[in-house]
Amino acid sequence: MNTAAVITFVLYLCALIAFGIIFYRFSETLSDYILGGRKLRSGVAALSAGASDMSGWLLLGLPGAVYAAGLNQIWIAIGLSIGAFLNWQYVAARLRTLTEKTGNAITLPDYLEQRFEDRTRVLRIVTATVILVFFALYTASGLVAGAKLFESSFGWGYETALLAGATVIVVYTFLGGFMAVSWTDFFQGILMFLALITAPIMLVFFFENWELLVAGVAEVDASFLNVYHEMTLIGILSLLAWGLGYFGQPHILARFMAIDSPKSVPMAQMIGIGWMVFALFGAVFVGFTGIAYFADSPLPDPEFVFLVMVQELFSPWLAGILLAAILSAVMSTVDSQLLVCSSAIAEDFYKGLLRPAARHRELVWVGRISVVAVALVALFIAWNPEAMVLELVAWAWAGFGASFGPVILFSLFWKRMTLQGALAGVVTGAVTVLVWHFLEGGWFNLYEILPGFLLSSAAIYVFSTRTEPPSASVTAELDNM
Amino acid sequence: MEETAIPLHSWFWLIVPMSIVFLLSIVNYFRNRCRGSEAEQNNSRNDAAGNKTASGKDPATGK
Repeated sequence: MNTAAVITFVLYLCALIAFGIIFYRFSETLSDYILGGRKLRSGVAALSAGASDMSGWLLLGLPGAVYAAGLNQIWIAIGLSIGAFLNWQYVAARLRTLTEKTGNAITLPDYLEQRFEDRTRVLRIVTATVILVFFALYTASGLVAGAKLFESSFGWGYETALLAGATVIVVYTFLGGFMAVSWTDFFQGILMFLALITAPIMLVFFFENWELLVAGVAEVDASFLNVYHEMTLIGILSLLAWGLGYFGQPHILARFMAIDSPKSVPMAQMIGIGWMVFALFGAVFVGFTGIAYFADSPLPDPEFVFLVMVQELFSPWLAGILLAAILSAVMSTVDSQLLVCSSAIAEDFYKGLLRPAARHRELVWVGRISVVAVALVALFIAWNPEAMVLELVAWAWAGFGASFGPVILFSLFWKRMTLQGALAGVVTGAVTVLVWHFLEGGWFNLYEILPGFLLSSAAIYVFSTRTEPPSASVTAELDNM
Repeated sequence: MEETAIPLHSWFWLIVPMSIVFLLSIVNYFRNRCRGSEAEQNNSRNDAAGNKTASGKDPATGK
């Protein structure tokens, strides 16, 4: 890699750490540290939700999938756009309002416990444990992806790359908490967006006209132009079903809870969905043009199609910025997940179970130490580059989507839902995803999130209608919505 | 020409749903903005008419 790109990239990393230092003094309470004191502006909420959601998949996975298999990969982009839209439309404002009304809950386990007046604490313990376990694996997969990128871009060894990436993320998350994470995610979101807008424009100029580009793709493999190629109904449904995952992703729902007012949600939704559709379109377009661009010398690793194109098409300075965009995509997800894990330890276990009377500063420091502790666990898991953690992303997405998604949706809209219904929903969703993952053949090839989501919803309904109705104080909050 | 007919049809599958969700988000934003300004106007009218807010309370006394 050339010097210009390295300088650009190092400056970018320094800027990230500067964010951590700036926001250090704003974290006086645990609510500030893990939810930014609910002061997030609509633009920051929108882009940080998008950036932390998409991960490296947007700049590596999706272009790589389209480059390797053609346009039949677009179904996942369609499913995600619709899922994200519905999440903003129906969940964001209600969750923001209800989490504040139900004892100013700052984590999902805290919200669920207060929403169902659970004195047994079982719901808090179960949901916080699920978050910790799945996010430790999820974070590890992000660190592996980041390290592999550092490795290929700078030629460093895997372990050095892993430590360097993790150190930068931990430093700004440790210092600045939610506000540092959200603002860095905001700028990372802008970088990713610019990268996915400028690259297709450059490629349009490179190919001069549409027919030439399409002819180039058809020459490699005409089936790459067909959205139905090798796609079964189960395959299309599985890709579309990714959109269901949005309703249960704690790191995305945290942005909704942190937005400064429910009135800011429509603006945030417009920005967030606009960002998402242009970014997804750009990512698909890059992968599509890559088929024709690398027709004579196919890439050994399809996921590097965007990275290699950027290095060939852009000036070294711009290439450095665009490389930063790719790493941004990875970092913006890892930092958000680290913070959600930290909130589960500090708020749900430490304050909720061990020291309810803990002071603000004490809790903030427990949160900070938890960030380091979870990062160390994730580093330990990610130390072996051959570990199969990357494959766990789809599984973890389904796990959160199926176990938390229906519970969150029902809790926001259905007054008759009970604590037993919520517990049954979480457990049924998680168990279905776990079991379905290991079954094969016919309908068992369906992505596990769909059966998990449906069975979890059914369990919530059955258990809620067969147990004592919730008390008037529980339903009163929903009446006032 | 036939080669370009297939990809245009394929891109259509991506562009249409994405455009719909983006347009719905824009419509939703402006609808909420209009509702917000209507509510503000109602409040001002009520204030002018009898020092009462939309909730029917006197802003000075809160009753």
